Amino acid sequence: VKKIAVWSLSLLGGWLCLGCDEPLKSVELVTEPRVLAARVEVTGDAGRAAPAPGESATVTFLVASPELSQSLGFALAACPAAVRASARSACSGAVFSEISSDDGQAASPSLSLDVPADLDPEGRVAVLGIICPMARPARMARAVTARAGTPLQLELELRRDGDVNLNPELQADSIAFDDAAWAELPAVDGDCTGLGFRRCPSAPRHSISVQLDESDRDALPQTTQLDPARESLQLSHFATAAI
Amino acid sequence: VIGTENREAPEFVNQGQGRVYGGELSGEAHWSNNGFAYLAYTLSRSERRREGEAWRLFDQDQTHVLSLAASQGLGGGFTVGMRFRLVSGNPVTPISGATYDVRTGVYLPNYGATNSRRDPLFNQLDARAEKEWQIGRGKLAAYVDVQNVYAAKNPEGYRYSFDYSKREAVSGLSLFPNLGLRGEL
Repeated sequence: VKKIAVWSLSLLGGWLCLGCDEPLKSVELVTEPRVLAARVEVTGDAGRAAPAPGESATVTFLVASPELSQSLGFALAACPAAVRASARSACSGAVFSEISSDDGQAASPSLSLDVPADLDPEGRVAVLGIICPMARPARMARAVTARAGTPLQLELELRRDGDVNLNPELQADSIAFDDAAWAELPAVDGDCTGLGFRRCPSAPRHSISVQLDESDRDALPQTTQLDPARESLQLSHFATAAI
Repeated sequence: VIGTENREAPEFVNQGQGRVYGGELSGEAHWSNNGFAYLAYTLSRSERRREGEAWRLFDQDQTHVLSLAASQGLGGGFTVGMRFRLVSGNPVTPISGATYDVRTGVYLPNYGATNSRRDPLFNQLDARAEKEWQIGRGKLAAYVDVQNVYAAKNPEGYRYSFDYSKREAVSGLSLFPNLGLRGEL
């Protein structure tokens, strides 16, 4: 008998795939202490973010938290960075600067580092560590695998001829909230007095704008015409109570 | 063939090893009025390793596979049937947290041992009912086929939050009814 499948219909399948795609966790909403950024300042030249071999610098991590006074412990170490074969940073030499702070001993996690004078200026410095909300970090070797805190990594470029990485300095009047200059908004009082928080009216939608000058982005060395003339600048927004 | 450490040239080398071993038991039974049942159980192990490393589970290893299928004619051209499957969950590599790369703003997952965990048992019941008509020298049948009758939520993967602190399973096909016609000449 010759079998021929004539036709087959699927009539009721579509309704099965209906549903809402709720995000697991909003990136913009800070519900727990979270490292957002880092700032590097060369000692004696705070506007520069790339230390040269032999110079000292301070790396400070910005930790946002829904709590006004978050208690933190942290452990950080700096070493020559290995050539990266993946997204992971690793040391290619001995640690030359480190710090371990007990819970609540320091207001913000930071590491003062002395870049060895014999470090290859074409290389990088790796800063590795962990930041622990309301906890004391273990020693570095164990800390980077701890689950309670946030392990982190940061690679810094060293100063090179023609490529000096400067810290952006946004002026107060360049930032606006709902079309009003940020600096002119009234500050909140109560427990938040002096913390720099601005009072804003309740509204379903707000806007933040930032006015940038060309000088806010460093010029980059161009080896081909396809290379960008200036560095890119990432602007991100976060909130602790709404998104 | 496996990838080299740190993707160094030539990137892939013929140094991986694999092995598969196992066995299967099966039986079937027929009875009057087109009654039929088939039962099979497979026990197997599929493993891989790099040179000098311990054996680990292969990504698609299914250690236990139990299948039961049955069909029964009811007379008058009606037939009902079912299929039940119970299979070991897929091997998965656990993520035990993440490292925040401050330069890029991206969390990098910290992986545990490769394929050291498993998804929950895969289980699914399918059912089918069919009515067949004889039309001249041909046959025409209408059927309703329902896959995953009790809507088991079998995970086929996981979706993670941006910092890998939360995850939720992505399930496979839920209850899926299918209505159709089948013809034979």
